[in-house]
Amino acid sequence: MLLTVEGLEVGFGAFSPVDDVAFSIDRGEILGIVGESGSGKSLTAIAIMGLLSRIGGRIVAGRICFDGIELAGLPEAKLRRLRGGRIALITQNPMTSLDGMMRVGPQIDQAARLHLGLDRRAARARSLELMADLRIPDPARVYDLYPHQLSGGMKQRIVIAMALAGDPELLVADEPTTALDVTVQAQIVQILVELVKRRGLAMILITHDMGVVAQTCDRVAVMYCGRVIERAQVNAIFEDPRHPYTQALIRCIPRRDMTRGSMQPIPGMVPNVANQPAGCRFNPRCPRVADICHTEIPGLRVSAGDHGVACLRADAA
Amino acid sequence: MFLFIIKRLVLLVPVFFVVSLVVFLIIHLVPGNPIDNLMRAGSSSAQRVQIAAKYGLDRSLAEQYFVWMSRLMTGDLGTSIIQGRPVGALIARNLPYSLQLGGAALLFSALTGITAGVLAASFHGTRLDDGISGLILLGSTVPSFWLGLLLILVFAVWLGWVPISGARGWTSLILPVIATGVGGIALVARVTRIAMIETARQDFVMLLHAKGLSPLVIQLRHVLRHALVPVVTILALRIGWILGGTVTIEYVFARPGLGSLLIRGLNQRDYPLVQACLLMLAMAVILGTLIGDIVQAAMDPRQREERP
Amino acid sequence: MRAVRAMPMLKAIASVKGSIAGLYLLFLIGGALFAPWLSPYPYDQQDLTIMNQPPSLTHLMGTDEFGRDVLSRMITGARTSLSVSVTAIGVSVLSGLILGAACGYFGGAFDRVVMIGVDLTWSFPEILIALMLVAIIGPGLQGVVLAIAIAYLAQFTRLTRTQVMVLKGETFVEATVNLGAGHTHILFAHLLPNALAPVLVAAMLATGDAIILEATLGFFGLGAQPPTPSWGAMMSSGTAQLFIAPWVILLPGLAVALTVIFLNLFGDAIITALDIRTKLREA
Repeated sequence: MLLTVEGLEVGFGAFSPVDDVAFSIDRGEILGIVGESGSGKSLTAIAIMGLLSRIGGRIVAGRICFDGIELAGLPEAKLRRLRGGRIALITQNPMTSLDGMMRVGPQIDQAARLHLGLDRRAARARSLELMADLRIPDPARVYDLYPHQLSGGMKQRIVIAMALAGDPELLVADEPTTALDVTVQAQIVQILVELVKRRGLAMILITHDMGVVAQTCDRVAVMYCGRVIERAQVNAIFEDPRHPYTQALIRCIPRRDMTRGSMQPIPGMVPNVANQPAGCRFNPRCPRVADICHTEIPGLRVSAGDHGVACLRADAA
Repeated sequence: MFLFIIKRLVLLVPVFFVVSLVVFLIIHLVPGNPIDNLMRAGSSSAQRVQIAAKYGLDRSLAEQYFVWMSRLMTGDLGTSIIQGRPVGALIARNLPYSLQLGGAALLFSALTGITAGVLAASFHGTRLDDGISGLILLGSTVPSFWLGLLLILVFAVWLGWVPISGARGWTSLILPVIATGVGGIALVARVTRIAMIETARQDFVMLLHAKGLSPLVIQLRHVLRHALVPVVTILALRIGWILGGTVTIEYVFARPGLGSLLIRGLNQRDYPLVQACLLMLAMAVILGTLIGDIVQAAMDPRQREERP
Repeated sequence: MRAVRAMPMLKAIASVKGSIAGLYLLFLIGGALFAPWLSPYPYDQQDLTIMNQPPSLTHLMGTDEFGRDVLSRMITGARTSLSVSVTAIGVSVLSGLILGAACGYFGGAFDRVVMIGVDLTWSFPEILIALMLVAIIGPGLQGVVLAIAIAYLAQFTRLTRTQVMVLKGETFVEATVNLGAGHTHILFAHLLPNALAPVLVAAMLATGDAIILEATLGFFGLGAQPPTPSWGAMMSSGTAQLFIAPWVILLPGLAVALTVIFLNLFGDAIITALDIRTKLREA
């Protein structure tokens, strides 16, 4: 395994918006992390990048093991050598992810110069190559443009090029298509999948879109209120969802054979971090809630085929 | 960009006329007839008419403005009533001193202010930030003339490091520049600090960290560049402050300059002189704002490329 | 709503900085109010035998070039400086509220003309505006009050205008309009009370600047005329004695600086308590 996360707990002040999160990923694999906003999936990404301190958070407990290196508690200087190098981040909104006052080309160069030790000319050549690779038309011209002169899809390609410039082994893509038009979304997803397969990268794809997960991921972790509630191979998740939340999520995917009004939104709201229910955090919205769900916090129980589910009444339905 | 500058310069023409009219009217709304000041006790009414005619004070306001403006166009700023010399020559002799002081003070407050702001923002929430913020508050609350006097007392009188007053040599510039610049430092540092802190919260900064760049590089090469845009705007808008500061400081340090000239003119009710000084200061403020606008547009690629 | 208004004031006083600042200001205002009873000597009592004496037990802050007690002059000077600044800012705030509210509420050509004037004065330093105005009105306290009031008019007009424009778009105003309320009623009963808080805090901060401005004009000999003491005027007459009797200049300047600092701290505490920082920055 390239990356193994175990029992990860992220703390902000007295709260733990991410708790007891565990998953792993190997080279050439795409792991989808799915959940509604506020489920802690972005914080998990930031924790892996070692950037929690930037936003005032910290790792309270657990391990993040990357290729034998323990990232939790690693000194900042060593983390910095990994960031942008062996581990790279692709952020959600390309409109705000680039420095608006700097030409896009040099922004791609930065990681290569820093992590691969290339000089200006070599870094530029590499950036142009990456840009061509990502099907950016006329890279030499685009290299000298400012972000505001590019479309959203082009900007996201630049962000991806930036992530690739340091020759990473692990890509953390935090909702890479959410801010884009639907047609552009499909292109970007395709580019990412190709990259993983061709370069043998590992990619954590964070999204709230079960459709994207079905198309791209090898394995899936579903998060709810800071916890992984179900984890399995992608076809197992879609064919045999065991957690009521996962089942509800799958019912929310629009399908061609749906009749008007047959889409079923999940009743209720995601509870606030400061206001979690006792016991299973899904209990206020759960259709098969029982007394035990109010007292006991379910742990992830893994059965055959590495299919894990955190539900006390998984066998009830 | 070039067209943008030309456009802004053309726009200055009407502004110039409005400002000149305001300056002219202000001076002529002054209660008390300027002629009274020129007359010695016991002068005859014939002399009075003569003096009025000499300075064109017997004509209507509109006529006087027209005469003043048309002379102004040929570079003739009139003659000082009290000193009896061409105002143009007086200003030409004093202006370099003011420009020197104003320019040096602007540079001083910009550099020191930006440095202080960057430090405070980089150590946001620590004691260093509190200390700098405290000093900034202190700097903006001390009257500049008092600071000038204090500096004279300590560095010129007690320590004897620099001349007490006048404008001989560059050492005589040190204290006036500090006294003028301190208010500006406070302003620049405050804006820099806030702009840096706000920029640092933007998404792209997180991604820069994710690239593994060092915090120092991120702060100086990326965040500061964004933060400088509002700083330049504020500096341009408040160039007048610095100029206003020089007026007081020139008086305190007995330096020649536009401020000293203006104060003397005000005390002596020397209209042509006051008019010309005010017009000069007003034009300096307007030109300073223009330069600030251009620099700001040149700094921001979004504005630079979109403006034809 | 009205009853809650007093809360921010209490909260501001409850913070450490706010309470120290509030105490100083209270002390200062008390001193100014009861100046004649608090001064150890009459402020204009000359005694040429004790000229330029450094601080001692009999004269805690020393004496000036006419042998007058500096402490007594400082206390009476506080009275002049404070009343001039507060009156000037009061006049400025009132006029700014009316002008700004009219601009923000009615808009149109009137708004544009006023805003041109505001923008024109905005880029000029207050001290230049004040100097020009004192030149027109003539030296003396009335001149200074008027000059300061006009110098700060632009700031309050702009602030009120922005507030009123923001509030105008809010639903509760629309609802009142729909109920058939008149312009005057909407303006005075709904818009102005809500725009008031940021304007008053800005006024408190401007009072600090006004004290500096008053001192500067006084220093140029354009403010209070002798023998009336004001902090600025004391420094003006003290310049000649700078080398022999620096306390005559240093102490009033220190008083100005302290007062302005504490006004700022108190204003800051209130801003935090009222949570209107963003509103102030918008303008």
